[in-house]
Amino acid sequence: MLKLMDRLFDRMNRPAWFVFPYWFMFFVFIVVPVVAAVVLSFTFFNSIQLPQFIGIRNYVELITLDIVFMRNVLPNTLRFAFIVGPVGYALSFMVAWMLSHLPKTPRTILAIIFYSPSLTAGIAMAAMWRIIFSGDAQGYLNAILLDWGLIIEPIQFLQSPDMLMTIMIVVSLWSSIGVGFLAMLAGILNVDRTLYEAAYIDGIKNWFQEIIYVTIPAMKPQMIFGAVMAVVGTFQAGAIGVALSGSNPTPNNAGQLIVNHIEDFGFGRFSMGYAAAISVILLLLVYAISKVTWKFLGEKD
Amino acid sequence: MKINTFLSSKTFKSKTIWVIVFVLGISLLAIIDAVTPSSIQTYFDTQSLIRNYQYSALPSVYGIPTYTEQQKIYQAFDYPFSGYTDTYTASSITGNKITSQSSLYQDALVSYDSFTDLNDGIFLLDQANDVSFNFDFPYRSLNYISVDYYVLEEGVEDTKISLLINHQLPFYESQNIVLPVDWQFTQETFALDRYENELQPASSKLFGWRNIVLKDHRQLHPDPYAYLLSEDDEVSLQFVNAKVLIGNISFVELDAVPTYNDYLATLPSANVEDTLQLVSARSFSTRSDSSIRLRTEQDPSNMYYDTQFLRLNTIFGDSWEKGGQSITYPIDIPKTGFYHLSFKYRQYLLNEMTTHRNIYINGEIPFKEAEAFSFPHTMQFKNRSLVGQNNQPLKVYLEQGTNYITLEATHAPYRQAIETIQFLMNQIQALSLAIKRYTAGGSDLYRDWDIETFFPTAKDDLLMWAAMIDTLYESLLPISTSRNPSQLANLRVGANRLKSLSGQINKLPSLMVQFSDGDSSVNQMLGSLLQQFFRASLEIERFMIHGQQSLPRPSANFLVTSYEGGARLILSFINNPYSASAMKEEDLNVWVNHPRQYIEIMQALIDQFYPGDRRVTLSQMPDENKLILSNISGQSPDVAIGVNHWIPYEFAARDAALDLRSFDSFTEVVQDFSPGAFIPYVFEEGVYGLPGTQNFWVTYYRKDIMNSLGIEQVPQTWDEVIGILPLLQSYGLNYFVPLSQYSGLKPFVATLPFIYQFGGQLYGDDGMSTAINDEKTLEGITLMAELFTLYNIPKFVASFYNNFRYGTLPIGIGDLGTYLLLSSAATELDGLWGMDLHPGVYNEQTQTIDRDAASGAQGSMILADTNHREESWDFLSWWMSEEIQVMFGEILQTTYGKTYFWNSANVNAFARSGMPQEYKNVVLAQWEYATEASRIPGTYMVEREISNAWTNIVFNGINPRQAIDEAVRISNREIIYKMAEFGYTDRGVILKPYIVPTKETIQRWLVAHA
Repeated sequence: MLKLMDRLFDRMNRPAWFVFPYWFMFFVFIVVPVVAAVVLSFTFFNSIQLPQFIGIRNYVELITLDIVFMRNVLPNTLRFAFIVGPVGYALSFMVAWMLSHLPKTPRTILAIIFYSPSLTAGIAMAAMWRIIFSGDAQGYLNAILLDWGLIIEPIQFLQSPDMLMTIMIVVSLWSSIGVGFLAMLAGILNVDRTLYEAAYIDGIKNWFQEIIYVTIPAMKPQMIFGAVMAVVGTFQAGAIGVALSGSNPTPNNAGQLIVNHIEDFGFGRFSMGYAAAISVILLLLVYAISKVTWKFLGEKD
Repeated sequence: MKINTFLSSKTFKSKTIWVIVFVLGISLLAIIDAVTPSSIQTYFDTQSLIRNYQYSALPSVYGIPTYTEQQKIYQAFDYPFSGYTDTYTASSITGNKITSQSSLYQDALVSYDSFTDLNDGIFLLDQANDVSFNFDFPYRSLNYISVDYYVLEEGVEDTKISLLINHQLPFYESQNIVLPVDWQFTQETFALDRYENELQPASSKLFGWRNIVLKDHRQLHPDPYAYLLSEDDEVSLQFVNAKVLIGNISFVELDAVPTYNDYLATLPSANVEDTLQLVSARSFSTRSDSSIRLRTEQDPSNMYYDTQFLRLNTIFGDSWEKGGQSITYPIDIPKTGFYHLSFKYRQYLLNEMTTHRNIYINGEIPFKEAEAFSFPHTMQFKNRSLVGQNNQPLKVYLEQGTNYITLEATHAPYRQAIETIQFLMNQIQALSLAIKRYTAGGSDLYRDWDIETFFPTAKDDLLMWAAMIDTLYESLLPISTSRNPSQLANLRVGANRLKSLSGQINKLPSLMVQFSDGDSSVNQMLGSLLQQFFRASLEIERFMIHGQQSLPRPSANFLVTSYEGGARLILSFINNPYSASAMKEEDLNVWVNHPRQYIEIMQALIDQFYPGDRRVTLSQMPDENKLILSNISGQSPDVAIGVNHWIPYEFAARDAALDLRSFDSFTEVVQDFSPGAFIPYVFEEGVYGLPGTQNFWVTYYRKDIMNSLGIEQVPQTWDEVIGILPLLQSYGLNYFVPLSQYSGLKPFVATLPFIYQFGGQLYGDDGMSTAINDEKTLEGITLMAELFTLYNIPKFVASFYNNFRYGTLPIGIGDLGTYLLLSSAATELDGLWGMDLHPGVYNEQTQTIDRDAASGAQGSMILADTNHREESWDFLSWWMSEEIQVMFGEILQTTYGKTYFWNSANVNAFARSGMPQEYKNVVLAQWEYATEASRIPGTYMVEREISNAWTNIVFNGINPRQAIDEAVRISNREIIYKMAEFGYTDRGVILKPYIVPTKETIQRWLVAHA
C-alpha cells in the first residue's frame, strides 16, 4: 500500500504538475473571459436573446455616438487615475520608507493599520465615508463644520456634482496603500545596509540622496510591481463613486468611471455587447499604460 | 515524500504526549460543560412593583387621564369598592337586540348559556349601535365590570370595544379594550413539507361565548379596570374596529391573590408526588395571539429533534413578548396531589434583568409568587422552577385529570418605569419645542442665549428629571441580577447628561443633539429603553411537572453536541430545499423572489389547495440577474413571481415573456387590480406581467407635535404644505419628501408625483420623444426644485423613520416600509402618529385634488420559453385570485406575526387584509391614484435626465427651463437610438409610432373586453 503511494508521489513529482494548477486557473478565469469579452464586443447581445454579430459597430458607436463616454467617463477616469495612481504610489512609498525606520513590532502593527483600508475597500469602506460625508446635519463632517460655524446649512457632498469627484479621490487615496506598499516595505527592508555605508563614504550627505541613489535603485522590482498595481487598480476602480453617491449613474455623471459605464450598459440597459466593447477598450488602456510605466521604471537589460 | 517517514519521525514519547494533551483538552471541555450551572433558582420579588402607583409620573400626551392617573385619584379620595354584584340582562340593556326572531346570528344566540327567556336576547355592537345601560346602585363607588361577548371578526385583528360613562371616556385606555379570543392550530399534527421539515400549522380562532372582566390587554395593570360609578350613570359600550355580540353585563367582586401560605392552608396537607412529566412547549392547546410561533432549536437534548430535518420545538422569544400574550397547556395528571413546576427557558433580551409571566393553573393565579414570575437573562437554555422567597421551589396542587397551565406575558413590573419614561420624553419634547421656538431652531454655539430668563424653571426641571431617573433606577434593582445592570445603563447616562445640561442651561440650544434630537440624545436613550421594557421576551422549550428528583440537563453534553453539529454540517450539503438548480421538466417550475418563510407557506398552500393537474415546484430565486441569464441558457423557469416591476417589460420587449392579454380569462382576473398598477407591464398592445405586491406613498404625521404647534389640518395640497413650512421651520422642524432619501439618482418613485399631479406626461404621443418640457411638467419640476431652493426642505435625509421618531421631521411622505416600522418598532409612538393621503394639486376643472403617486413593487410573469402556457396562466391567476391572496396574507400573519404584512396588489384581497381599518382606508383611497411610469425603450434616460435636471437646478442654480431643455435633448437622442434596437427607427428615421401606455389605455382595454 505504502509502496503504491510512493509510486504515485513519484509520478506527481514532476514540474508540469506544479505548473498545472496555475495554468488551469489562468485559462479558466483569465483567458476564457478575455476571449469571451472580445468576441462579445463584436456582437449585439441583450443578455436575454442570443448574440448577433454586428462587426465593429459597437466600437464605432462608442467613439462617435456615446457623448457621456467622451464627455464624462473618459475624462473622469483619466483624471481619477492620474491623480490617485501617482499620488497613491508616492504615498505608499513614503509610508513604507518611514515604517522601515521603526523597530519590528511597531512596524508590523502600523503596517497592518495602513494596509487594512485597502482590504476593506469598496462598499464596506464607502459605508463609513458615506456617514462622514452624509448630507444631513448629522453627517460627521457637516456636523463639525456647522459646529465651528463655517457653514450655515449642510453641504451636499455626495449629491453635488462639484464635490463628488474630489471626495472619490480623497477616499481612494486613503485606501491606496495596498499590496504595492507591502512589496515596497519588503523591498526597503531588504536593501543591503552596507550599500548605505559605502554611499556615505562615497559622499552622499542626507537621507534624500540616500533614497534617490541607494534605496530606489536597489529595490527596482518592487517599485515596478507597486507602479503596475497602482495603475491597474485605479483604472479598475469603479465601485467607489457609485457606493458614495448611492446610484449608478452618479448625479450628472460627475463620478462616472469606465467600470461604472460598463456596468450601466451591461446590466442597466441590456447592452452586453456594447459593454464588452468598452471593457476591451479598458483592457487596452490598462495594458498601454502599464507598458508606459514599465518603460519609465523597468530594467533596461 | 514518504508518508511512513513522517509518521516514524515522531518518537514514541512525543506521540504519547500528543495523545495525553488531546485527551486532557477534551476532558477539560467536558468538565467545564458539566459544571456550568444548569438551572437558575433565584427568586425576584415583583410584588412590590406591580401594584405600586405611588411614584408614577404621568404622561399627559393623550389629553385624557390615563388609568394610572385615575388610580391615583381613587387613592387620594379613598373611593371604596362597592361590593355590588348584579347581572344586567337584555331587559335592562338597550342596543341593537338580537332575538330568536332575528334573521342573523342565531347560532350564537342558541349557544349562549345564559339565554333562557325567549324575549331575552343578545346585542350586536356595530358602528351604528352602542350597547348601554344605567347603573343601578345608590353609592358612588368603584366597580369591576364583566362582559359576555362573542367575537365575530375572523382575521388577525383584535376585536376592541370602548367603554364610556355618560358619553365620556373615564380614562384613556378605556377607548381600546381588547376582547381576547383563543387561537388553536387547524391541524393537530405538524405536517412535513416536501423536504421533510416540519411546518407550523395555520391557526384559527375559537369562536364562542366568553367572558372578560374588563382589563388592560397589555397587562400593565395586574388588576382589572375599576370604574367609578354613581347611581343612574349611563354605561355604554361602543364599536371600535369590529362587530361583536354582547351578552349579559355584570358587576363582580374579585378576591385578592392569596399568599403561598394561605394557599397551602386551604388545601389538604400532603407530600410532593414523586414523578417527572415533560411537556413540550409545542403541545399547547390554545394561545391568545396567532403571532406566537414555534421555531427550531438545534440541540439534541430537546424533546423534538432530528439531526437532518427541522423540528419545531421552542416558542420563539421575539413572537412572545407583548403583554397579555398567553399560551395554555393541557396536562394530564395521573394522581391528585402536590407537584413542582419547572421550565426549560431562555430570556435573551433584557440583559441582567428579568421578564415576567403570570402563571395560571386552571385559569387562576394560585398564589402571589406565581403572579409576574421572573425569568432572568440567560443566553443558554436553563431550567428554572417556580420558586418563592429563600429560593425554595413551591408546590402547586393539581387534581387528577386534565389541568390547564397558562403562561401570560406581563409588563406590570415595568409599568412605573414605562410611565416615568413616557412622562420624561414628553416633558423633554415639550421643553425642546419651546426652546426651539425661542431660538427659531438656531443652534449656534457661540451665540448667547438667555434660557434662564425665558425659561426660569428649565434648570430645576432638568435636575428634577435626573432625580426621577435615579429613583427609577433604584426601584428596578430588585428585579435585576446585578447591582449595576447593563440594560439600565441608558438611565445612568441619561441622568448624568441631564445634570450636566442643567449646569450649562444657557448653552442648551446648541446641545439639542444631547437633549432631544438625534440618536444619542437623552430623549432617544429613554425611548430605546422604553421599547425594551415593552418586550417581555421569553423562550421555552418544555416545562416539567415533577417531584424531588433532579431535572434533565437543559443542553446535551459537549461530545454529543459536537458530533451532531458535524453530522448536520455534512448533511447540509445533501438537503437543500427550494434550490433553483433542481428543476424537473415535467413540473411547473416557479421561481419566487421572496424570503424562505414566504415560499414555505406558498408551497404548502399550493400542495393543499391548487386544483391544477400539473405539480407546481417553487424555488427561491437566487438573484434577478440570474433570471435574465437563465433565459439564454435555456434554464429559465415557467413562471417568475415577485420580480421587480421593471423586469417584465425588459423581457417583453425582447420576446422573452408571454402576453397575458392573449389568455381568455385575462380581463376577468385583472378586475381585482388598480389599472395604474399595470402601466409598467405594458409593451405595445400586450400586458406582460401581473402586479404581485403594491406599494403606497402616503403622508405620515405626528399627532402630538401637530397639536402642540396648532396645525389642525393635515396639508392636502402642495400649497398647504408650503403654507405650514414657515411654522414648522420656526421651530427648527421640517417636512420630508421622498426626493431627499435618494442621494444619487432621483428615481421615478420620487419625481413622478410632481409630473403627473400637474397634468404632465413623460412622452409625446408617438413615443419618440419626451414631453417633460411642456408647461405643466415644467411647473411640477419647478416646484420639485423650489421645495429645496426656496422653501428649504432638507436636501438629504438618511432615515425619515428615525427623524420622525425624534420629532425633527414630524410630517412627511413615506411608504409601506415606514408603516411597518412605525407599527411594529416604534412602541413609544403608539397612538401618536397618523396617516393621510399623499399631498396633491388642486384641479380647478374637476374640483378635486390630483394625488397621483407611484405604487410599483413586485410583479409576476410567464416566460416565453415555457412548455406549459395554459397551466402557467392557470396557476398565476389562481395565485393572484382574491381568496388565495387573502388566505396567504392571513396564514403569513398568523404564522409569523403582524409584521409579516402582505401588501397584495389584488385590491380586494388587500381590503380584507390585517391592516387596521383606519390605515387601510387611507391606502385604498390612495390606490385610486396609483400610477407608475409608462415604459418605452429609453425610459431610463428620461428618469436620469429628470434627476439631472433637478441636480442642475438645485446645485448649479441653472434656470429650470434651460435645465429641462438639456434633459429633453439628451433623452430624445437616447430614445431614438434605443428605438432602433426594436425596429421603430432606423438611422434616426421613425418607421412606426410607439404606443405609450397610460392609465386610460388600460382602462379602455378592460372595458372593451368586458
